[in-house]
Amino acid sequence: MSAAPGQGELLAQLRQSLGLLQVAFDAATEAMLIVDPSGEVRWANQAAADLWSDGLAILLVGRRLEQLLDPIANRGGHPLALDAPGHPLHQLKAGDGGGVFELRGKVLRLEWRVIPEPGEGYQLLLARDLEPQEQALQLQRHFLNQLAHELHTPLAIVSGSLSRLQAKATELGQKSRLWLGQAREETSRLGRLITSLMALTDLDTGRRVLCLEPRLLAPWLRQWHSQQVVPEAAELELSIDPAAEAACIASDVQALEEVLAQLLDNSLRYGDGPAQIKLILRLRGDQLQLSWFDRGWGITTEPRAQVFERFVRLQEHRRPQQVDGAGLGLALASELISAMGGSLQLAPQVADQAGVEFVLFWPRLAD
Amino acid sequence: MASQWTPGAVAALRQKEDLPFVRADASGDIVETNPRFDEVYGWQPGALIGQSLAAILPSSFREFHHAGFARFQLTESSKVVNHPLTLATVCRDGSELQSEHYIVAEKYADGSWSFAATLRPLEGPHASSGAASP
Repeated sequence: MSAAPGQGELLAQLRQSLGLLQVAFDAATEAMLIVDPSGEVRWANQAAADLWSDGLAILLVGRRLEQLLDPIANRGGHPLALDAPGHPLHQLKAGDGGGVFELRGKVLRLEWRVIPEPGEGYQLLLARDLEPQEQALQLQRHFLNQLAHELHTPLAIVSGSLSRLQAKATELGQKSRLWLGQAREETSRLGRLITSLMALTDLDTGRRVLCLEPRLLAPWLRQWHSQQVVPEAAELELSIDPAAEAACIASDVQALEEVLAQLLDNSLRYGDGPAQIKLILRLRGDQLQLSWFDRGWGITTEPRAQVFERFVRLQEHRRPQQVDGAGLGLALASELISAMGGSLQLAPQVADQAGVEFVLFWPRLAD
Repeated sequence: MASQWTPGAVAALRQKEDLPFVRADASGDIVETNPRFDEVYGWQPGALIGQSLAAILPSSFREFHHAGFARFQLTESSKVVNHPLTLATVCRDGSELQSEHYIVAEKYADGSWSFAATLRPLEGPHASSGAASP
């Protein structure tokens, strides 16, 4: 049995381990920073030094994070002020997250994570160049965004012309009226698709930045509910748990309205007979949860989560007498919720129970 | 990276008697300070001998110093040597003075290492202006 190492030997071993760790972190292509609770850099690897301090990591220690992240622009190239809702400094107060930004002449994916180990308030910031595939995806998103905006105006003109023609429908023959009806229906569908595509790609490309503000969700939801007009015999119930009354979330009113409008459209569209919709708002730990139930056709096609992907239209939801949706609505709702720091999920299917349950989560803001 | 370790670099730096000077051994423990260093930063002569270089660094820099030093011992390369760096230096009374450090390293024939730095205080009663030179 060998003798236990002495203090000096142990120190040498520890030093070697520490050196190896530093070598490994310095070999990473991803820039890494540890920021302490006061907002100052406490540790950085070589890639971070190359990005921010001419290769000298020691000069990063003690620098304030806001200095390193200014100036910064969103992925669309729009400059972000330090107090802008889309600025990483603003977002990282809400916890783990990330996004694509233009910083120091590069397009970078930034990610931030809370690291509880050294003590409360420490964060790890990661920055890396976009992979070629991600760069291609960015270009594609910009192209789609431009295309959607370009198509919007001529489509509005076509739609307006068809409406004027409809006003003179009595002068048309039966066949022409049928063709006109089809043209209007398809134009309307195309219009919804373009609108959703614009909304999605505006988010993708940073053209639209949500204006997140602290908001009590319960009273806002009550007001929203009172303003909804649903088809005759349809039901839209809202129930709010008392514990959820005082819970605040970071939200953008317009985005909230778009999400709920999408879910409502979904519930009204995909069911037989008058829709029965129930909303329940609850507090679940440090999250606010809104359950959205309906008694429609439900979603059984696996994987069920594909409904949040773009251009997915489920075969089980297609009906010959009904115009298809664009397949973008739930994708947009999901993106909007994510941009508010929350998530939109499907609850597991309950056997013998008709309909679907969507669950929306938002992190609860501190009082 | 052998070119970083110019023979005689430590001795050349020590000769700059008008500047505070500190030298550490391969473990990062201080083995020498000059009277100018003791005077500018308020340390008693010999008080720092045997202590880690971390003693004259602000606490927020210590983790980085230890990691960087350990890394150097494995790789024998460092980006902080042979050019001026503005860093805070801790005085005997706990205050910090921004100083321009010029750090050199030297490897001896027996394989041992020595690290030395001149420090040019940029603030306080002994503040000086002008860039350091090796």
